Amino acid sequence: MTYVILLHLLQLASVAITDDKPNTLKKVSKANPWQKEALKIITGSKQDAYKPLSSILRDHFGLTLDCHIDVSGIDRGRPLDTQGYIAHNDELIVLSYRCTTSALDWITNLSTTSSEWEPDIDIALGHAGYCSCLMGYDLPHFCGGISKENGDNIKKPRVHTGFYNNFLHTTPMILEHIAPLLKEDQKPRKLMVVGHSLGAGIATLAACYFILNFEWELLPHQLVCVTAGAPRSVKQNMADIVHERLATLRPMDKAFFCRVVLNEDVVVRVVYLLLSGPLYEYLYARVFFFVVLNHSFVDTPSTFEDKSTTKISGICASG
Amino acid sequence: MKTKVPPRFLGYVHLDNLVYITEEGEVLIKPDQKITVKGVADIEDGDDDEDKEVENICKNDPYADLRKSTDEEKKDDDDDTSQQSSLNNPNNEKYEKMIKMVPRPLKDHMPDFYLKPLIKLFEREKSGNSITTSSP
Repeated sequence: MTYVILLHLLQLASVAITDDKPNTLKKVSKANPWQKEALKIITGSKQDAYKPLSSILRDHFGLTLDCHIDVSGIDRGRPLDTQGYIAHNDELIVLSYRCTTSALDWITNLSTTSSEWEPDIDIALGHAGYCSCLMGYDLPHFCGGISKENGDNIKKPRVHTGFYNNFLHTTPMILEHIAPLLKEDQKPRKLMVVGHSLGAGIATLAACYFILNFEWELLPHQLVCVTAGAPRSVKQNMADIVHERLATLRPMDKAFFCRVVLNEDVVVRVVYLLLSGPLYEYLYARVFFFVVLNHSFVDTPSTFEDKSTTKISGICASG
Repeated sequence: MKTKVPPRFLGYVHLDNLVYITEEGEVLIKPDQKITVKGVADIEDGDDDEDKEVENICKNDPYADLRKSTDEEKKDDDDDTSQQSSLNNPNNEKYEKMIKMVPRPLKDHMPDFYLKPLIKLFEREKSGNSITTSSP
């Protein structure tokens, strides 16, 4: 993959900010003027930036829009606000998710609970399951632990509940528009799963779904996932499974995942500065207390290395 | 900002290969191996040692020497282009003024900031100033 393709894919991720409804970009860019700026860069002019998504995809990328993804509101007490699109041409299939634009998106972003990765069950259910963040841990009942059915002792991989729920709500569209194009008798295509910010988190889980649920060795297609400014969306046990699958498919040139990070986007100086002081100690103590009570909550306690404030200060000082 | 949430102490990790874009707009592939892209280059699988790679870059800035030679040239280019764009487009000037007040970590999360260095790289290559993948 060249950086030109990378640029192309980041553009496809950025155009998910608009759709075919009138005034979408206008509404979004009131609070997020940088989204308009990105579209101006992509389309080359302010006038073109306000064109419907289907026109932008056709004129600038040679793609046919298959469907808009638009799921928003509160579902069973969970915030949902996922937009994006599916498009294709003779060579590509594109699944792109929109970034953070609303308060509901921020609720999803700030959520830190995880759920078991079981799309076969959850797609039919339509969500991650009730109290899914408590499922799969060996917690005592008085701490809220719920035993798995059938005495299943094998821990399932875990993913971010918010992104997972958003992804699950988009699966009907994925199954309707993408799955048929991935059949063996179809033309060889590249499936591009892209997203920026919140969209990147959802795109990562969508890519996990594709890589784990399709037999890429037998299919004539390729899977490419490119994200920009992606939040962490999976736990280590999920990452291990995906990396193992990637290690098999990468030499066959069947799958490729790439995460783009711009400069300080990855080093949250403001948050680090806050967290390197007493507040961090307070939060750390609280989290540590929780972990001691529920020792199995954190999969890898060694990740507490992050506490190293000297390392953090070093990063802050470098700027 | 998003790339650091949810926190790592809750067990969350990143999945994929890292491509890092520096403040100067250089695209670094496999940052731990110090490969800088100035032209067409393959983005291959690298060690995915989470954010250590990025943290090391921020701390040590191993690319300072590499950049030195082109820094002045770039600054001149940037000044020219920003002046031109401001003259041509008053709306852009308003946006640029506003964006100057935004803290760097937030700015670096914006989609237009992600696109600009890659577009610049593309334009530089188109104009014939490209060098293929190099390592210091």
